[in-house]
Amino acid sequence: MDWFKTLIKEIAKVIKGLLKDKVGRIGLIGVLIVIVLALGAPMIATHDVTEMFAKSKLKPPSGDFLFGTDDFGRDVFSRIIFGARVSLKVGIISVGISATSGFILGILAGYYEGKTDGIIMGIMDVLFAFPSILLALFIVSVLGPNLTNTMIAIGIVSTPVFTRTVRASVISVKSMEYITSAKSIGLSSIRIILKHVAPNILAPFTVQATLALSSAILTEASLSFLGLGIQPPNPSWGSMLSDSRKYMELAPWLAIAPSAFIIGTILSFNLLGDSLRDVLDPKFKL
Amino acid sequence: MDNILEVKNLNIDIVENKSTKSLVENVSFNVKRKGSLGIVGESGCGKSITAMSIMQLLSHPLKATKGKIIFNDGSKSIDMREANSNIMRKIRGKEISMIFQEPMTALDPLFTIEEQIAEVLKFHTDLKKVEMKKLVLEMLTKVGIPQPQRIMKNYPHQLSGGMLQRVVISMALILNPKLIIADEPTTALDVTIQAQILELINDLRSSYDTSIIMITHDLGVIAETCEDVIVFYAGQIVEEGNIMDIFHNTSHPYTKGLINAVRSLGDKETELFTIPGTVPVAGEFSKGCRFAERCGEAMAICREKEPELMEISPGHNTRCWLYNGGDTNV
Amino acid sequence: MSNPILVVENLRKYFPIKEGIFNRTKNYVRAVENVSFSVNERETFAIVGESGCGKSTTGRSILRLIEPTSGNVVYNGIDVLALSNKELRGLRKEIQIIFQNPYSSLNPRMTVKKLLSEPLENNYKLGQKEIQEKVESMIDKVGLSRKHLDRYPHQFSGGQRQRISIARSIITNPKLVIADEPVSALDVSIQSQILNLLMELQKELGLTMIFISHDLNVVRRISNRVAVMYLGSIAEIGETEDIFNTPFHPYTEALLSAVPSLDPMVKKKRNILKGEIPSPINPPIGCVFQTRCSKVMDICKKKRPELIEIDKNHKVACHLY
Repeated sequence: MDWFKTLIKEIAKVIKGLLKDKVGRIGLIGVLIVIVLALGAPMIATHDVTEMFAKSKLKPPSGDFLFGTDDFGRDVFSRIIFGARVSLKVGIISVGISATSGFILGILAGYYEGKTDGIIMGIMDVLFAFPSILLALFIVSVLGPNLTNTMIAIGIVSTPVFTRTVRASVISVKSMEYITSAKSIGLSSIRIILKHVAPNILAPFTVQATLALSSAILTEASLSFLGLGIQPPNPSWGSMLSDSRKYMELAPWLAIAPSAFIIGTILSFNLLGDSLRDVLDPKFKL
Repeated sequence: MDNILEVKNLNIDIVENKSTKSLVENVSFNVKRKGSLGIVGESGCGKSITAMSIMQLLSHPLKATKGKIIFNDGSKSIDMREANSNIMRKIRGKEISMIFQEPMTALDPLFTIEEQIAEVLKFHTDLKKVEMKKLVLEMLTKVGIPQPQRIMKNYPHQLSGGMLQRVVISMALILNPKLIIADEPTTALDVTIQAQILELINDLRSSYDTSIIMITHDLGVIAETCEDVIVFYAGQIVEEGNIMDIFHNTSHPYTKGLINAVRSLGDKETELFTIPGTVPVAGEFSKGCRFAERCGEAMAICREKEPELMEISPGHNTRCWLYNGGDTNV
Repeated sequence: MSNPILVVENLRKYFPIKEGIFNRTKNYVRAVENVSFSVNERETFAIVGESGCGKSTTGRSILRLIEPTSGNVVYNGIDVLALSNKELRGLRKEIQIIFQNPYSSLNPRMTVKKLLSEPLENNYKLGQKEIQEKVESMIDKVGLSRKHLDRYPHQFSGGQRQRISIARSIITNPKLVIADEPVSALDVSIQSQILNLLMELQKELGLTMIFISHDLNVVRRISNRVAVMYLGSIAEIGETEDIFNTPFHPYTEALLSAVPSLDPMVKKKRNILKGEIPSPINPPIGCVFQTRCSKVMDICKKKRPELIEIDKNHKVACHLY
């Protein structure tokens, strides 16, 4: 369990560093709020997300309905809170898919170069050539619109970005003399990749992952907005925003609440990513 | 005035995370008209940023905080620290020019050699295109570039390091500046090419009547090209004098150490001379003499009080308690 | 003469230049061309030359960090070029390399302790305690202290990093160490410390060293024998003092006279080489040095000179002799 202890120590160090940096602090707090909302949704929500209050349709924010109600008379606040669950889940799982595949593919392409590199990057370039939202739309419409398929689609769409960043970092790390040095003391390729290459590309990779989280959340919102993501009556920020269009003038709070949460979440993740970039630099001093 | 440049009490600081560290402290020196001054020191001693500050090329977080840098071209004198950017732009390239360490990165890869040299002329003169071309060609011939007609159409990546350094030198000289600042001009070059470039610089200097500041870590380069020398250590001048003073009446233990380290290399009979310890980092200087920790002749006072630069013979100054006549109550 | 520990014969390394969409090989950079030499046990053999002369490629080819195109490398009777990858990894505890740049040769995310224990863990089966002991005694040996063990490379100065690098290279008890410009990136006052350390360690551990450098002063100090390389070939090879006192090859002569003198009184009579080093892609036919040689003859443009022994243990590749 030695590595577990060091892992915890490392994470504690990173969080300490983030808290020291103003940008990091704001990002971390924003992300924590979203996480708390998502985990504690049943406790925080004031109403059932699908319960329709026939008497109070399109009501403005009030003590009873914090963010007002929508055209079915559902509580917007509670729907936003549960929407955070969807956003976070989609973000984490789809980035999990793309980061893992991108990491492996990128390392293979960057470390072995030559033919392996050619084939992997060829496929990635083809994927890259499609506008990502179009590709996601295509995948979802083939697999059918539901949460799982949305996550798979977003995962596939953002794989090329990861592959590229990982490959670029691997190539630059590979040119460092400590890799030659590792070879010269007789380490095998696998050990060199695990002990010398991977730790040194972790920083750009983590930053990329944070930024990808925000774009995944955005893609999910777009897909839901277009009606291909989460299906009603389940709440999602994108679909809520989409539904609000019809009542833009009548009930602006319907648009404001989900937009604010989308913007806030994405901003927090981006700020966190920026700050992580500095904190993960080995020269960073506490 | 027979000095082309007078630097007085120059201080350069670095501002990092709200804390200020002093990188260059109270540095004063003069460059004689048609003279050649060598500034020698190890990495991080402040020699390069001193040169950059003359041209006002320091950028955040570095800042010259105190002192005067007076440039006198014979008719007028200007304090470079107070000159506005318009005046500075006119001085750079025309009155004072620089030669950098890495000729590869000193030239823009997107332009031909001719375009880059002509660029200097375009900004500072009203010459016609044909005249410019003629001048460029003449200059390239002077710096010893074979087939200048062909070379001037080339891009930087098509030339070798030695060739590029010749191009950089021709750019620095084309407007016949009064002062050239050469920052490690031969460090990136091979010895045989270094010998060519040093010979070229010496020849050009005598035919152009230019003054030169030669910044280097290599004492050999100083011995080959300079008349006066200042030795930098940890942001201060520790010894200054003419070249004979420095090489034959060496006073400061640091200068002695540097010279001995190189000399003893060639002499297998003696033990290889070393200066122990490591170069102190800015912000972590000890309170007395900055060299005391590494000095074989350090005395009690050296760890207590910082010595001033004192004159030990006319024009030869040293910052060392050994030369204070034993009077430790200064 | 003592026994050669390493024999290099007709070593050749051509780097292919690939062009076009099909990555077809258009031409070759002839980095090392027919280089042969042998290194005796416990001596320091220097390879000196200017950038691009193939000295580093030669050094790395011996360890197969670069795979040579052809030739023979025999270490203690073992044909190094014939080894499988696995056998080669086993040999690497016996032949080690020290790199030029102490800033890029240490993994920034490993502590000094990890950096030093890694070669041991990889090459020997040792307990934690033994490793700890070896690491501690090694850190003392290179002049650092045990409190440094938990620090990261960026917390050290260039000279200290080079000490760590050296410790990492010799901790496996190698017999042959290839030092590739180990002091070129260091300040003058630190250079001599590291040279002294290398010389002491060599004596103490009985190392054989191949010292690659462009600095003639350093080479003169540290080596017993020298090979002068120019454009991929050996121009002259012999005992260090012979080469420095009586250089035969015009290139060696020019190289020696190009070193700036430390005495401003002595204006050395210079023999400044004209021109540039030709491209290793299209080296001249005949002697590679002909384009810059002041004593060039007709035969130099037709035939490449062989290395011939003209004095005891002193060989030169020049048609003048």
